[in-house]
Amino acid sequence: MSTQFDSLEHQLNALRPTPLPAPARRHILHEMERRSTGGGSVFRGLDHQHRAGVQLAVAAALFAALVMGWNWLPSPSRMTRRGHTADLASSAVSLPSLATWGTTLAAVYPIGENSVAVLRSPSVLTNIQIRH
Amino acid sequence: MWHRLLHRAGDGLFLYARQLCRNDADAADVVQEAFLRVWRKHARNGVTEPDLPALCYAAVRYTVLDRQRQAARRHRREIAAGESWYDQSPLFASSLEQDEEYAQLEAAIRRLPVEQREVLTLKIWGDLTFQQIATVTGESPNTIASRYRLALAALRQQLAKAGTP
Repeated sequence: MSTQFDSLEHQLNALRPTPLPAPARRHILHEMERRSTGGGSVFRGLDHQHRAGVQLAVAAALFAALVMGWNWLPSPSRMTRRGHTADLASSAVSLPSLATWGTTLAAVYPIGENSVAVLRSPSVLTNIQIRH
Repeated sequence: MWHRLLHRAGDGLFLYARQLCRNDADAADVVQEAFLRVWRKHARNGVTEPDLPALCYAAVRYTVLDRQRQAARRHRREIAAGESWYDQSPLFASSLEQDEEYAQLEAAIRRLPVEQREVLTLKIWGDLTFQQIATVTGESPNTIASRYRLALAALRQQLAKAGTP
């Protein structure tokens, strides 16, 4: 359907916008190439601002887990003094996770189960496990 | 698909961004950010190629608004972006500027109200439908069609005044 503006639209269509600057075009292509080949693949779905926040949060969580895990580890001197080093070593290998570590320690270590629970963590789940 | 999109729509995206930004450098940054934002979001979700240009133009608009909000927080007087640029660099490729008729057409486009210019850009150089433009701008398709007709009428009037048929 032709309109009164057809010739004007034709003129407008003939105008070519000034090209996107080559550096900007190259940057886009480079970024797509870089990310396609694996760079930053874990955070690919996030933009720059969110990615920084998530990375910070992950780093903080890992650090907290490291500190807490370090505190949970048994002291070597205590293990030797009690004479249960071999038992602990063998049981540590077979531990599926930190969640069961307290239960095993309570069985091997000659102190009260609740004491182990207190030493271990404030985890409600683990405390319940030990009491059972 | 994405390389083809950049080749096909890159210049139109830049033209659109230049109308919303203070200068060409900002506009180029906006196009980069917007295009990569769309690419990151949709590269793996099976979006079809015909939908991509509208998503890119919407991302350009969103990115500019986002930047303006940030700039406003830093500096209230920077809110009114986009107007000062228009008297500076040419909108269209230089070979056509030499033609007096096209120079008058570009001058007429510059004088259009921002809303009409936006619709004209998205329709002619973005090759979007009225429905897609409505989605990009958040207006109704009827409003968009009306703005487009007003823009063409204003252009024709200005060209007639300047003596161009």
